Amino acid sequence: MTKPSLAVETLSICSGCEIAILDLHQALPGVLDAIDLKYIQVLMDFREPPKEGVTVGFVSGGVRNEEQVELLHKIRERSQILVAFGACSAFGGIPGLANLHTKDELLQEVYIDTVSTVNPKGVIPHKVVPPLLEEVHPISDFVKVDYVLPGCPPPPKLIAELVTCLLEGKEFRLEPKTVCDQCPLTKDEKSVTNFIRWGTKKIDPERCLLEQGFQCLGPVTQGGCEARCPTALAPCRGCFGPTESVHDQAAKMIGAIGSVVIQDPTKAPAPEQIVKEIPDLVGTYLRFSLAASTFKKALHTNVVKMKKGVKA
Amino acid sequence: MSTEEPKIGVFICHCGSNIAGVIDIPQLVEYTATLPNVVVAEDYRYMCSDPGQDLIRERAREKGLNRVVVAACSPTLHEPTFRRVLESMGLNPFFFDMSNIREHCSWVHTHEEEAALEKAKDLVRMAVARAAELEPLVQKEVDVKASVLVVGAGIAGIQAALDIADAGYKVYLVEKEPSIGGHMAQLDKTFPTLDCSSCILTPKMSLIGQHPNIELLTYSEVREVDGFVGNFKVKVERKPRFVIEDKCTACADCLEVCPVNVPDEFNTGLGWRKAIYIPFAQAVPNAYIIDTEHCLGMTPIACGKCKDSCEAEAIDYEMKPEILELDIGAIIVTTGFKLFNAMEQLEYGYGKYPDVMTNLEMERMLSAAGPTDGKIIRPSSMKKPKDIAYIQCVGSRNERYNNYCSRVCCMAALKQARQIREKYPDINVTIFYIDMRAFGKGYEEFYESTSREYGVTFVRGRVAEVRGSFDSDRIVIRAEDTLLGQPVEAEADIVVLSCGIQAAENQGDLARVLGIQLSADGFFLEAHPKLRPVETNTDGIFIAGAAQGPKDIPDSVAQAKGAAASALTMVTAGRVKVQPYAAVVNEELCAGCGICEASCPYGAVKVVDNVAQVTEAQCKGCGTCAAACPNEAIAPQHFTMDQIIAQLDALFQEAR
Repeated sequence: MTKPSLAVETLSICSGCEIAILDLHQALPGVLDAIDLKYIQVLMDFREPPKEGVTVGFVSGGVRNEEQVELLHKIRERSQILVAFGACSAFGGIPGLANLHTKDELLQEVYIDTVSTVNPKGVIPHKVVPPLLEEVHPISDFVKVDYVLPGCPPPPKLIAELVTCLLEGKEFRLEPKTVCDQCPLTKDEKSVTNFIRWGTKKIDPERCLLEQGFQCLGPVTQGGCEARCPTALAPCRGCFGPTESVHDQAAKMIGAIGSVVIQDPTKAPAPEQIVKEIPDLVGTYLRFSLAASTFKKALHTNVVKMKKGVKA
Repeated sequence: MSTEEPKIGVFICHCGSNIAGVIDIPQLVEYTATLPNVVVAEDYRYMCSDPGQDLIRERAREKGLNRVVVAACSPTLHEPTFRRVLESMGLNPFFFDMSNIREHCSWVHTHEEEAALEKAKDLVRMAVARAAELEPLVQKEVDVKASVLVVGAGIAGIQAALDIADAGYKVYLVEKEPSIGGHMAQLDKTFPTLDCSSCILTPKMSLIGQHPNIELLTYSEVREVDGFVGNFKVKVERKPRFVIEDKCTACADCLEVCPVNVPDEFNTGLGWRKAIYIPFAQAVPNAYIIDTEHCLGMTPIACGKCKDSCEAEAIDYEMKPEILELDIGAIIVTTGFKLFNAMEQLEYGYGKYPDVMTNLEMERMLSAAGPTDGKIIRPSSMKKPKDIAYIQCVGSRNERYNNYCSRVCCMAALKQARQIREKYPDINVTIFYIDMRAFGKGYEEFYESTSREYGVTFVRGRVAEVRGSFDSDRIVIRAEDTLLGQPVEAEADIVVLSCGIQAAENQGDLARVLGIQLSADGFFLEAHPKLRPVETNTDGIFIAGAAQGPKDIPDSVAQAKGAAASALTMVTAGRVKVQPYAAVVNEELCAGCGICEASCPYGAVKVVDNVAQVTEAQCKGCGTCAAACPNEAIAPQHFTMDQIIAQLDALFQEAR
């Protein structure tokens, strides 16, 4: 019997997810014994997944340009099982924050306005490079996805679990609970009077970070990561995206923030004050999932409209 | 989920001309008949009347209805009425929904008939969509413990406790201070009858001390309230007095020997007391207490003089705080108020000029049992004043402090002015006011006679500044006389600030412990300002007196009697119905983050072992937790996500 084969396609991404595969560390030789790794650009000099097809295709990275749309369709056609691998692939990831701007603005900024750019003729590359899409997309906007393994990057333990499940023909599913489920910090009383940025106050190493006024996205983020950030006393940034029962991570976080604020109306801060204490709402609450959020379309359309309005 | 096909009857009420005067009822009925699952769509003049109710019953029988929607007024008014109709037909009363086309349509869109009709169509469509998703629910009944906890023993708490105890039920009366009596004990006379305050209060106080049904817990505080209506588990902390109440004979031998003098709180700091003391002569319980903050060490090595002098052997330096656990059926909260801190309003110079005092300080000075034996003197010189000025609305009716009117200060100032003029006809009294508010029974008459017969001067205008005179030791008041339309400047020897009433210190903490709410001004929030004035939104907890809002003595007593009657109704019945709205937790989704616990206004949700748990009887089904839950892991039973989504789908589908 032939070994199951694996192909990893890399789209708009930093390649951290591929490194996470290598981070399987001592388990890696075992995995490589069990599967036939056919294609992974960080290790092999191929341009596309094998024509004869593979059992499993991992896609890391979101979709930013037209070439990536093609590559994505190719790996979908050539894989029996397709896995959205990592936050970018699943929800657009950090590159998805570019959706706060139009394509033209991005090109203008990168090729002309940046201080370090010397481009006296104002040329924007358009001949040998694939054209950009209007916005960043999660891969599920184009193809059917069989499994999602979120994370920035996905934790090696879950990668191993996923691979094991696939080898044994089992379903892979993250428990539909949020990060708080595995968080070791103590939850006491949620009565926050003001929110603070990480690094501006001494952290109580025992207590729930949200209760201490830090913007921890643990309550609104799919768990399974063993709460690795809060365990290290860094607030969860939400790289696992929303759970399956939730439509929008940011909307849920705003709801949660409303609830952790102290109830006593004589001591509670004004809502405007709270908003002021959270300097970058979109970047904080949708750091990884803007491109897949409910606000995506509305936001994008409004950004475009607003910009046009300003010009007119 | 019930499997039978929903057969919905929609009944549209005219409410006389309240609804029919604006909304085209025939059109609404015609539209309603086209909605999915609607078998009956009819209208009637008054749906809530007996013939209206009969109409529902008749149609239900004819057409085999299993869901009913009434489009009429607010469910707060008539939901119970129509639920009873369903019950009488043998239908589950929760197969009912109401859409409010009066308050939400005809009353607010009186001049937009078209728009009101469209909105009514939307609301009815939504109610029908939800009705199809309704689930049958069962109401539970729970036993009610035959005991009442009264928190706070001012006049309101005293009255409530006496009423309940007289009805034959056990009362636990908890008071934070060493003696009961509250603010009323500090007053000399009460308006408008000029009764001696302590003469009418102390008989009630001593009744409390002796009543067989009342267990008095002074110098104690409520620490924890668990459970729900009829079955509260309350933890009360008894702080140590260091004097055994039962043994102390109040002989005052210890006073003779105690070497420490401390400003006396009861006399607003105008007199002195010892470190071992009794708050005032008529205190109940009539026992001393040691103020550990000022006592010289509480050990026989450092001092211990009081213990040596005590023949009754009532002094115990080893006394420890004690936690009592009580089983309670109903709770009445009468924790009173705090006087506005005059220091906050800097321009009136309180704390800077000794002759600027608060109304309560003047009250103590006027009291025959007070620090000056009822004589009025200037604190700076200990001499008799010639002119006294009152400044009204200190801390009240002021955007910088409290927006509301404190309700008692006008009458209190009038009463004090009259007392001063009675005692010393040669002292001039001037009252600077914004409006004189004399609204109670006999108050206007009191105001009239005070101004006419007692020669008190009134100046209408808020005082801008109080400062020391440059030429003498008197005080200068600058104000604008709004009747004359010009600035005025007056001199006085004593300035009395009519400080307003504020929510008590830590009222928010107590609200949290009890699971009840505060209104924006910091006082406890009643369930309905007109129709449920002594109930809170938490079943079985009642409020009365100034803890609910500024109030004078007659109003406090009236409210206390109301709260006592409400608590008695519940305790006497012995059983109480609990609405089956409670939220349910999906343990597979719950990560125990505690967001729901923080959001619950009733303290009904608690995270235990990393999973949220709902105390059914405490839950009101408000849905706050469902909205807050980051993982949709909790939802109330009578407003499920399916029902809400069905309503929203119906709302956004294009109106046909």
